[in-house]
Amino acid sequence: MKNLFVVVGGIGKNIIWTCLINELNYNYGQCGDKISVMTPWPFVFYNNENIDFIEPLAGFPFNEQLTKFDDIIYFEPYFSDFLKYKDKHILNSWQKVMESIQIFKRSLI
Amino acid sequence: MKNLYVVMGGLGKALLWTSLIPSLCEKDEVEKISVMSPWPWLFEKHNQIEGHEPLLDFRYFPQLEIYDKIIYHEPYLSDYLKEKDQHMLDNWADAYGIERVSPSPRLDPPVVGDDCFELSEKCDKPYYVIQFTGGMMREGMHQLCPRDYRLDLVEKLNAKIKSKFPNLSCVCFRHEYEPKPSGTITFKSKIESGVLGILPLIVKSEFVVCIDSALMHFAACVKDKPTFVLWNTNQTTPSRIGYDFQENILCDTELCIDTSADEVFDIIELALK
Repeated sequence: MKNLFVVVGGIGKNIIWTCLINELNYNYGQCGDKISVMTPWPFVFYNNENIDFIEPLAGFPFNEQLTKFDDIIYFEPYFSDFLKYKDKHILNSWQKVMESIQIFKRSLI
Repeated sequence: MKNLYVVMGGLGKALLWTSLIPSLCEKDEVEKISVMSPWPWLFEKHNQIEGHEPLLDFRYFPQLEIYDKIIYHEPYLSDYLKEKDQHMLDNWADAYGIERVSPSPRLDPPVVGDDCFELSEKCDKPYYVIQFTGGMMREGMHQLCPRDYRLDLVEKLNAKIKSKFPNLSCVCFRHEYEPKPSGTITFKSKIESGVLGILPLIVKSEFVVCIDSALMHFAACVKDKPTFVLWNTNQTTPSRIGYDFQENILCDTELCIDTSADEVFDIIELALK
């Protein structure tokens, strides 16, 4: 599976998201595939050996170069339950959703 | 389930999203759902909308604790980007886990006072409505996105319509800073929600000519209104964000809509016969 994860927002948010890369590769990188990332901050991911492709943020048209990915996955903590929990860490917010996606996908397989 | 649905992006996209409201109510087993969006006035009178939350920042907001879930799916950051013929509404429906529905946006009812909008001159004759510019509207801010608009096409088309139907006026839905076709009456909203004043104007119009824009989605709210939409399929297509009950005129040139005024006029004339 070639999965493209979208991370938008500030540079700091992108940096903290890198904490998830190993776990995402473990969960999503079946057959040795590494995850890819779409981000406004490509240099945050330069030389990261656990990232396959780095894609720029796309506009709204159909984008031929993205057809190489099986799934494009985006979860935005700032438009989620994260807003209603006082002490929830942003990483936990991402993790919880990614796990549920993974469980859902496994159930489909 | 008392869920809050987040809808980001432009006005037209939010209008399209209203097609899903009945199905979302059914899924959540409620009579009304709540929305967070940059366009509160679009939803505030909808009879299946319970409440509207303003867009917030990243902090903790105790007032959101009343919701079981805050749900956001963004087609523009999803598989939608890699599916050439997938309709945006289908992308949303799949993500929400509901049945796909036909695009049928609904406003319920868009009440704005005459003091919220104005026409640049009095319009006491029959008229048609056009929009040929559009913006990449994010978070409620208007930003012109020069995409594929051709003022010369609009001028030629208006001249042909004027020649054949001399009694018809033309109302142009545009911002003041956007190009103004000659001989047209500008619709101007005095406040942001004044844009809803275009809806009763569409109802009373003879027909609508537009590109993929807010006017296209507003016209889709008006049953049986003849609407002619010009598309540059390198940018967007009706199969991805349009309506099959509108007359979609396609071209696939790289830079701009290269359809001839004659072709558009012939289609309009044929449809109005």
